[in-house]
Amino acid sequence: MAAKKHFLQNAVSFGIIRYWDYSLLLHHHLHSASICTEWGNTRGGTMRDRKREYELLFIVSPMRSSEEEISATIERVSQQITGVGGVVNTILQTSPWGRRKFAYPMREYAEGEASRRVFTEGYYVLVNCTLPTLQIRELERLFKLNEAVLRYLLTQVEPRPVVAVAEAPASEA
Amino acid sequence: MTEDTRKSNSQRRKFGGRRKVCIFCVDQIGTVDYKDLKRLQRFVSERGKILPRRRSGTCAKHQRSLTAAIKRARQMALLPFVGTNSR
Repeated sequence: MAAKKHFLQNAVSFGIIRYWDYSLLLHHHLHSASICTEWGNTRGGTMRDRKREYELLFIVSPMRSSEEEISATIERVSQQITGVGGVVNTILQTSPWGRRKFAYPMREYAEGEASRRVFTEGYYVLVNCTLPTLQIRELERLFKLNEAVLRYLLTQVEPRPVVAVAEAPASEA
Repeated sequence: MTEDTRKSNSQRRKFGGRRKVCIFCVDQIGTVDYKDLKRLQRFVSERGKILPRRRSGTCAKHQRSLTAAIKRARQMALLPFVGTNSR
């Protein structure tokens, strides 16, 4: 038993499994003998197929700025999201987003050019989506490969207990 | 201890300062949103630097999430890294 614990710790320190996995594994290891069957049946349960809300802001390159190309890019991104097992909730490209000037000139590589090209404006698209947490890395890899996506920012939307916080100070005052 | 607090109070009055309240706490915002440009711009100097807590008056918790939000906005070219006095 101690040997197995040691083995798990090593696996963590070598980066083979993450700490969270480690604690789950160790927990199962310590607390139930039926861990193997349980693991096999549920395939890790909450860990494997956890989904979370994310918010993706990406900039379509001005090199692909015709309307068809923009819609094609958006279509491709949303297909990549669904292809990875996610759900696209909303796509926003109005008022603050859409075509927009950058706060500073951006130098990015363009297809087939040896030096970086300077961009001063781009087309912003904001996407709300639900993604399986384990597929984030794969999705980001696809964005990096996508020539039409100049930059992207994928952030987690936290569920916020607004109501509970809002009521507390009001009752004090 | 009481003497110390009295001293600091009188000093504060001497300079005409008032104890600032964190705007994000007042507005009951959990984490600062990087897309909320109007709000973020108030916490950035003319040179594009992030204002220190002693000037902005935000609490430690919100200052932390504020800096993260400003840095995210910079990455997406929503806020400048440097300069632009025009703003």
